[in-house]
Amino acid sequence: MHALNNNTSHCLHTLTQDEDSVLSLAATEKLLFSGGQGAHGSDIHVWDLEHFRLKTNLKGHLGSILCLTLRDDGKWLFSSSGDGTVRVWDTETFKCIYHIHSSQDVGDVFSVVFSSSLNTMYIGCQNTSIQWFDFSDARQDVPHSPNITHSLRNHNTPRFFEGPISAKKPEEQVTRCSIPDSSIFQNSHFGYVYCLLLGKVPNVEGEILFSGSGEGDIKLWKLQKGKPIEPWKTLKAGVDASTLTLALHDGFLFCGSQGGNIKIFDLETFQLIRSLIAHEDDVLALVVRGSQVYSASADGVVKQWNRSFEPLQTWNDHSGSVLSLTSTQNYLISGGSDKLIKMWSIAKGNPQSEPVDSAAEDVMLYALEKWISMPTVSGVPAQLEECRRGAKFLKAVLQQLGAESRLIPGAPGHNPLVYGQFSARADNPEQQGRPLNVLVYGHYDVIAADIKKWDHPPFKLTGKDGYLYGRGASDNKGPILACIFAASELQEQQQLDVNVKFLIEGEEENGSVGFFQAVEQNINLFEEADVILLSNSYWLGEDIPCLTYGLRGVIHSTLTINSKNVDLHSGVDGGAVSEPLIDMVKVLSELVNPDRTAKIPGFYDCIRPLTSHEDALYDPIVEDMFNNPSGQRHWDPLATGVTKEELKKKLMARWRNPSLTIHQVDVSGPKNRTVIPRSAKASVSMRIVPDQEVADITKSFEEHVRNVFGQLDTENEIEIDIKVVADWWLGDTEDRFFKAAESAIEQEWGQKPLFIREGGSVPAIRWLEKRLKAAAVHIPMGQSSDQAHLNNERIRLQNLNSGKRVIKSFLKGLRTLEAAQS
Amino acid sequence: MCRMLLYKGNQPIQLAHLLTKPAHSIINQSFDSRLRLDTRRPINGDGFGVGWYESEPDPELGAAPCIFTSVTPAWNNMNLIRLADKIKSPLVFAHVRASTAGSVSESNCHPWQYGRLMFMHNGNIADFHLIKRKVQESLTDEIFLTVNGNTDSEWAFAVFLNQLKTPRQAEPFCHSVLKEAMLKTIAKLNAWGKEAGITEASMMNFAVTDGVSVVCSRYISSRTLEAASLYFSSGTRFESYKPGHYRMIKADKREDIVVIASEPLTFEKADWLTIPSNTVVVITSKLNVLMYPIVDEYHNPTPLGRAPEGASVAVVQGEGRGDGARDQNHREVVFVEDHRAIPTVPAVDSPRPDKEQNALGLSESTARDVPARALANTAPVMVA
Repeated sequence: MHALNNNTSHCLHTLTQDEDSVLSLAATEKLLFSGGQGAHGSDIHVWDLEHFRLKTNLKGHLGSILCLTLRDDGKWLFSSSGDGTVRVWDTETFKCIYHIHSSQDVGDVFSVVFSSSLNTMYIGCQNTSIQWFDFSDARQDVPHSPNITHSLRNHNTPRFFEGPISAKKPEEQVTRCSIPDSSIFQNSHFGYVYCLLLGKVPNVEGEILFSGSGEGDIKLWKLQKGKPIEPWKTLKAGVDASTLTLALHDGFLFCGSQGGNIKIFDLETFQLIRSLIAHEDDVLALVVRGSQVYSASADGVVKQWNRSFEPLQTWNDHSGSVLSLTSTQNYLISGGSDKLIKMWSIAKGNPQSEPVDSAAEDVMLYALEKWISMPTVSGVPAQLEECRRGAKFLKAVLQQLGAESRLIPGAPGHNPLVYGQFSARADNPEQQGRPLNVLVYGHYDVIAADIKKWDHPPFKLTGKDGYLYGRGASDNKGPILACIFAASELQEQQQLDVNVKFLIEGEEENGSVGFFQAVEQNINLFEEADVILLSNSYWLGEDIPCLTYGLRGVIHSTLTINSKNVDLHSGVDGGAVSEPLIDMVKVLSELVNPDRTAKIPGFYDCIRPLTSHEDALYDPIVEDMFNNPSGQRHWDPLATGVTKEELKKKLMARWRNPSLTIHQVDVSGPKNRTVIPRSAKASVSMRIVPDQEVADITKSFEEHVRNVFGQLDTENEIEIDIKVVADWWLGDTEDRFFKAAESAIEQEWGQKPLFIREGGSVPAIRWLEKRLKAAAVHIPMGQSSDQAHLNNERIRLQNLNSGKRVIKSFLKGLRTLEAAQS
Repeated sequence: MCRMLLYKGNQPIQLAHLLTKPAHSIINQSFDSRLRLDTRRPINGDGFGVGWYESEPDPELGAAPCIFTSVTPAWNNMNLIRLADKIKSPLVFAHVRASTAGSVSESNCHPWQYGRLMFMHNGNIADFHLIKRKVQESLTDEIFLTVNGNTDSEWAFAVFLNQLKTPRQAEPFCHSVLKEAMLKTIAKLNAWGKEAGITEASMMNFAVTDGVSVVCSRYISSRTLEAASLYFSSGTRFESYKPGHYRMIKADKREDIVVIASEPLTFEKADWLTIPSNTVVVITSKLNVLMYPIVDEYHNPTPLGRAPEGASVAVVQGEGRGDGARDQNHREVVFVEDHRAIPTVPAVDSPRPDKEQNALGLSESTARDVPARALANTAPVMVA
């Protein structure tokens, strides 16, 4: 089983460019620039390629961004626009440094290229001219240059446009330059100059400028610094078919044409050697990567071509036209009229520039994609096989990454558990005694998903706008893989000084059926655990990392009140019999006080008193909620007008205080308004907290219910069924492992985590702590908006990658801790 | 002096979006034209016409356009407003008239039609009465007899038709055929004018279409005067963002819509581009916009220069351009040194200042001294 063999191209991520077609793209190793259309100003969007997130917008252009190009060193970005101007941006400060316009009315500037050796920019314009600008003699323009007479776009034409056009504010620190008349080649073509390209021609010295146009011709121009471009050759590519895009590869010139052909010229002989019927509609973009040429078309398709001009792959993911292409790292990036930017995984063009980290992240995403595609829904017999596949896949991943791994059988008819171990390196000179054992607990099973309510198929990992969508992405497959890859990378880098064991169960969402027995039967594998690590909850908000130090436990109960009768008619029997539902209402009314507290005797006796230390942990959280109310999931503290003190109380009510909830009441029979049901049933649960003992609470709850019921004058009988789902858990925030987690988070995110508790429950955690006599640490990776258990579950890519690095530095930090201890 | 407008798009457009709804529509231009050269009469109230082709070819209806003309001022013609609301077409010509020659009558309203061709004119032929007989004599009987009105513009159309071998052909013309006929028309009118000793400049903004491609000139028979205004705009969608206010959307770098108009229809600066004086614009069947400078005695190279010597161009065998045909078996392109396609500018008989003449033979070092003139114009169109 080759779980991690990644050699097929697939869409890794999709970015949404608000409201705009993606007309142009350019990319450095780290940043992607995309340009859109807009009648009243267009932004250039800057995306961070590590996390696929929008970094900033470059504002200034007043028309569509038709072309983006980078200087060879990536430090300058050139943008050409339908507003008839070109802007030059600094890709570090994101400031516009030059704003260049022509002395003529050029119309749309379709194309811009830059020659570093000549320090000169060339532009292809709608008015059929090619113009150029030498940055060696760039100087600030005189405002309202007398040269400019007929331009409608750049300057106010006295009579016609007065009124509706508001004067533009001058921009600071932007050098405005105008292209002098001497740097214009008028009528370079008969049609619009759609595309320019700089490149070499075999046996010819110097750079050659290629231009393609609306009349179809491709022209070659000789360039010399400080001199006008010199027409050299004309290649005829067709009749009434625009040449819309050009690419140069291996001595061949590729010309993308209106109608769908790609014309290929041999630049040794200047012969048209092939005319590929490549697409069904206009070819709008070509890009060369390694030995491959990629083409994109208005027919919505992206194709990959090999050296013999045969199509290798076809991608159909865009709806509408594909308008732009670029490539960087090992991505091919396409932009479409569907306002989407898609990132495709392709073979690396340049093996030298291969950052170790990003390569590993790709494998992690690949593994996640494969794993998400297996619907490992627990508690559904039909999905048992999928769950087993999911478990085996995990085992294969662990093994391929250098861990020992095997499956542990679960309860009969239930899912197996997966065990894995990355061993500490044997030759650690600082090692004294045995290495620490870290046990990572998690689960590979997921909640079922209703495909109709999801925006993307739930069992297909979909990358969109920096988030990875899919059932299990956040709960809990993503975080598990982050932990596995963290350990594996440390092992590979010879830095793993602790044993990292994995215990990944397949029934967590189904009450961890069979978990305890399975662990008991294999207790020798886990006994020596020093710390239990899990990542199975979420940050409080969106932006501040958190550490979870407490979970409430949960006790479920079902109360059933039965009469000896069958269902009766209320008109016939009403008033003469004891009615189960009336009894139920009376019992339930005695469970809760008017102030929402539970009426169970002794329920609050054992609550651990609030220490000043614990109280202080709430302060930064309350502070953050007040400063950043929009980031809250459940409530807006400012809108409800609560004080900080009240907010703290509400948080405590959610996290550190117990609660009692009545979930539902149901009756037997037809639920008709004339029927007295013979039986009534109610679900009641209690969330419990330190130091409530499960046994005590269970006992006093049952006694209280029986007591209340006993006081009723009734012939009916009550049944009480109690199911303990989970004990509470409380970590020690002063514990060395929590300190290690805290500093790992601070190191990664540059800020201290908030210490939070959760109202929800994880069944296994307290049990493991008690059984293995080890403390647990809970490092949540996802954000509050991850929608675990809901539709469109997701995790932010940045959180996943950062989560992996947090776990790495946590594991590395443990070594020093151990050294300090001994 | 009149106003004209033409639209060609991949998709049919409701005529109202061009004629009645835009705040600066051709109808509003008819009483509020801001860019007219002739400032004496700002009103174009001597009738109007609109012609359009079917969205879907219909053999019963034929390939000819439908033309609606009226002598009432365009702005208070209810029929026009009603029709514009209900008609859609992918190719529309519209014209409002301020008569400079010819009486006010429906037969004198542009555009005119012949076979599948449609023609309109913005401008005037100077002292047309002095050459009218020459014009008429040049025409074949068939074309001579088609002229119903008495305007210089309609006679110019007749001259144009006379340049075509088969003006009544059922098939679409190749755009280069229409372009050549247009250039010949201009050249003939110029020649007759010269013969008659006319010195006033003629304004010849002509537009012609066969329902498939469009050829449009912005021309004046003068080296120094500016031709009547003409703008174009191209994009993917002509969109109304509030009543009366339109803009051209560019969702793509290709063109789905081309509009040519005497005055911009919108107040969006970036939508419109001036067509340089003495240029012929071609909108091909695939909506490519081609612009050819008209190089004759009135060609003013400022800010143009001249062609550098020694440039070579390709001569294509098999896949020739201009004939509309593609030979699948001949894809070879052969490059030879060839100076034919780049005529030496200026034309032999064209008077030019000495300074520019000298610029032809300047050495590189001297060329830098006159950079503004050292520019080339690769393959200008010669008027026969």
